Amino acid sequence: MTNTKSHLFSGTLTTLVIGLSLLFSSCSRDRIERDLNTYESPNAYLDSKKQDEQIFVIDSAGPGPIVGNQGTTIWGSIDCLELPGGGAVTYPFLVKLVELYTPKDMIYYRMPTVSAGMPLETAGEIRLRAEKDGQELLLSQPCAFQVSMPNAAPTPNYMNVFYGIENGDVVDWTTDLGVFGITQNQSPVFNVDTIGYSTLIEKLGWINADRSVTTSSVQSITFDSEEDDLTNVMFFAYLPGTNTVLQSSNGVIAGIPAGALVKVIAIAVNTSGNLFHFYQELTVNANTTVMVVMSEISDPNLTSLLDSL
Amino acid sequence: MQKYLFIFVIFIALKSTAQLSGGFSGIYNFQTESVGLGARALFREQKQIQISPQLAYFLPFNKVHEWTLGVALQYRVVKIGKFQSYALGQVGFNRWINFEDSYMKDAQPNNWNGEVGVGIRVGRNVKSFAEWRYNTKHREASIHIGLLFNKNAFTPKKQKCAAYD
Repeated sequence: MTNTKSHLFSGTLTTLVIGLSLLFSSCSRDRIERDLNTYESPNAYLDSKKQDEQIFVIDSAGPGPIVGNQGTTIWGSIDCLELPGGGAVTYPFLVKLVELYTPKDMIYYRMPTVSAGMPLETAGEIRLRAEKDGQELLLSQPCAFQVSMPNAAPTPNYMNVFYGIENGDVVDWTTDLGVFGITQNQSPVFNVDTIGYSTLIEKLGWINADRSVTTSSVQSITFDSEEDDLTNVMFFAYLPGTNTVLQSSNGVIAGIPAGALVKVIAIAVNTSGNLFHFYQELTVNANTTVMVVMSEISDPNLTSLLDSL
Repeated sequence: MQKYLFIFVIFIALKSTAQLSGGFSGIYNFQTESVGLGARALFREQKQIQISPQLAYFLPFNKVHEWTLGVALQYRVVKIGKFQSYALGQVGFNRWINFEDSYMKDAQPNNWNGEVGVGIRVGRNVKSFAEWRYNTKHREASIHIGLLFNKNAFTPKKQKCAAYD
């Protein structure tokens, strides 16, 4: 009898412990935490869509120029190139070119047009590099390469030469060659030629045909959502009035000229690898919070949306 | 269904006031990270099945501000001297005061909650108790620790007169 009671007690206790453990494992914090859709970084997707870097093998002297897929035209001489230590360059060497002329390509490449937090009007961005045996080559001073960037309706004496300051994945733009330890010898203003905007560049790397946007003040857009965790969502803003591309930093897009029409696009990929987006057009007159609801989109539809910006 | 059970158990409890205790407790809800205060009565405490009407109030500074008026049925599993352990089930009406602050899509101010749990109690006239409970509606666990006092706990014992010995 005692044995039976003992078994009953231990059985009941075991059942209770197992039952309560199962209950505890199914506890929920739904009342105090958001049950949000989560996403992963879209970097891999954007990398798969971005413009390829074009590589030209220069194995002998020739009349030139080098012409990129989208019409960027480059005139240069091996005599203007030097190794990092200052040594002479010999054939063959490589010239590498990336061309970003549309907001879609700037978004894919995550190359906003911002200089020290202020928006820039752009006529296109390129990255021009030269390489010899894996070493990145430099323009010797006071040499320059001539670059023409295609444009259907260039404005004379309008665009300035901005150079990219690379800091990790972020590129800031500056007209000040002194930042790179280079003395400026050429005009910092683009000329107009039959191709579009033409200039003499004094440094290889990122080049931007830009003009600072005139504005009385700049505003920002903050993003929030009741349905989506925005941690890994990437936000871009395109300002059609000035052909300006902005990108979010810590969930905020800053540097928006007051009164500008802004096309906001958010891109993310969920854990299953499906593409999600958010799109909204708004006029920004003051600091604004945009409520975001991400929705699934196919790659062709997102591409079309970016083409239509 | 839950409200009828609630009324029925209250009715049974009020008919059995012979073994009555009352007390209070402190409560902590692990999932909402909220602190509360509890008050309760306990009927039929020497029986296998005991009845305990209870009020729990989670204070306004918590992430969840609410009160619950419920009645628990307690099933005594072990009794050794002053020690008892029991399993419990409770139904209760819950008023979730700051439900609008919640991110839950279907948050409501008025709810009927079910709770299951286990408890231990030690003492005779003044009893301390501890309970672990699981709220089946919101899927939250809480712990209750408190004291119960017999209804005669503070009544002075009658002194026998030596003259009548």
